[in-house]
Formats: sequence, C-alpha cells, structure tokens
Amino acid sequence: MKTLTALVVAGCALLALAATGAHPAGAAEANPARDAILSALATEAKAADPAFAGFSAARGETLFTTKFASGKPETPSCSSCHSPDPTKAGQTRAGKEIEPMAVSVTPNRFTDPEKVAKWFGRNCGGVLDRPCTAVEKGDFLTFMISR
Amino acid sequence: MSRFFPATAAVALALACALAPVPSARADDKAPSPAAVVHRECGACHIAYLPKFLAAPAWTKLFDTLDNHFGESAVMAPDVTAVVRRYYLDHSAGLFWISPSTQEIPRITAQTWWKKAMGKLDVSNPRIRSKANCGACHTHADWYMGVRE
Repeated sequence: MKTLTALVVAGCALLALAATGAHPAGAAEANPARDAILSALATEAKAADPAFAGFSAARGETLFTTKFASGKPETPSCSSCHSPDPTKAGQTRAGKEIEPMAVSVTPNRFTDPEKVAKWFGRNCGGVLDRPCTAVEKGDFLTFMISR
Repeated sequence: MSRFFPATAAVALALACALAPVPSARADDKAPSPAAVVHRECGACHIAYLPKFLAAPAWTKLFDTLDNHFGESAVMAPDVTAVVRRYYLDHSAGLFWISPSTQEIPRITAQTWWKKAMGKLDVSNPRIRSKANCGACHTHADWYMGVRE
C-alpha cells in the first residue's frame, strides 16, 4: 500500500508538472489570441493585395535585422533594442531589460492586440520612419513564433 | 490500503490543482486601477518614475510632447494618456522641491536633489547602462514606493 500511495503521489506530481506547460524548447505553443492577431493581419494583407500568399518567417527575419537609414540614428534596426538574437533579452533606450521576442522563450508574446498595435506603431515609426504594412507585421510575428 | 492513503491522495490532488495554470486573463476583466495603468505603460521602457520627482508644470510639458519623449515615441491611446496624465499631476511634487530648469523638458536627473543623491553613479557599469535606469538597483521601487494601489 505504501507503493500505491507513492505511485498516486508521483502521478499527481507529474500531472501538475505537465499542467504548468513544460515543453521542449523551440516549440511555440499555439495560442488562440496570437492566432487571432495573425489572422486579422492576414485579412488586412489580402485586402491590400489579393495576390498575398501568406506570411514568411524569412522575410520577417530580414525585416528584424536590416539596418535602415530612414529611421532614427540611435535605432537603425529592430535588433538595436531587441538584440540580434530574438531568444536573448534586449534593452530599452533607458537601459531597462526587454523580455526576449522569441515565443518559445516568452510564451505570452504577441497575445494582446492593443499592445502589439501600440509597439508596431511606435517602433516602425522609429526604425523605418513609416508605419509597417500588414504583411511586414505578419512576417515579423511569424518569424518570432518560429524562434 | 494504508490508513494514510485518502489523506495523502487528497493532498496530492489538491497540489495538482493548485499548480495547474489558470488561463491568463488580460487586466480588463475588471478595469485596472490608474496606478496599474501607469505601471504598465510607463514601466515598459524604464521604471515608472514617481510622480513626486517633478512638479506639475514639468509633467504637463512631458505629456504634451509624448511623440518626442526624449527622442522616442511614447504615444498612447487618448483615454490611456488621460488616465496616466491625471495620475502624475495628482501626485506631483510641490514646486518648492524642484530646481528651475532651462531645458525644454525638465529631466529628473537634472534636479538638484538627484544630483546630490546620485551624482557619483557610474553608468559605464554594464548592468546600469543609463542614468535613467533606476530599476537596475532600485528594483520594484515604482511598485513599492509610489505607483501602486
């Protein structure tokens, strides 16, 4: 009976551990809120260009790492603040740490549509000196989800 | 069966339930307090500086120029801006404590009290990086000392 008790306790502990969402690194969990943001961007992209064929993580990576001449000299690239490696923390202009953008490291990334819209609004203006298109936003998110 | 089995199983089951994740809900299940909004918005790029660090005219000037907030855009939705502005004005410092500034937007780090307290700060320390990075050492100061319920 001691063995049975031990097995029950161990089973419950494993259940608890599984419930906390432990998963292999590199696998971003599906998230309905994040999916909704992406599908809204896809709808917008399709409306702007009927030939739109889907987002691309590769295009997103290019957007993330390119040094643009158009924006502010202190932040020529998204990676200037967010670190060239999305799995690493970045830092703000005031020196505060920014959580990694890679969804496998920060699972709640890109689940709040207002927050996503706010930061694309501010930072595309700062880096590109223009708003990002729906395709660019979707590519960017797709890249971060893949990391 | 062991006479301890029901109790042990109950404890184990309770533990499993307690550790199971609650679906994370955004704070608009009930409207967040002004302090929580300030902490969320102003605390994104730096510690949410305490309203008492500057007088009302300085905060007014700052909130009137959020599109160029020390070189960055800090623009927020109008209703959010109104809440944050109100909080800072309501809890701002009395004019006596603030040193006059000829700068466009008064900086906290230009205040006499700050220079006296923090004048020897070494920003070349890679953990600190900036005079604006109070949170490097004063972790959670905004939460415990001012910007809270």
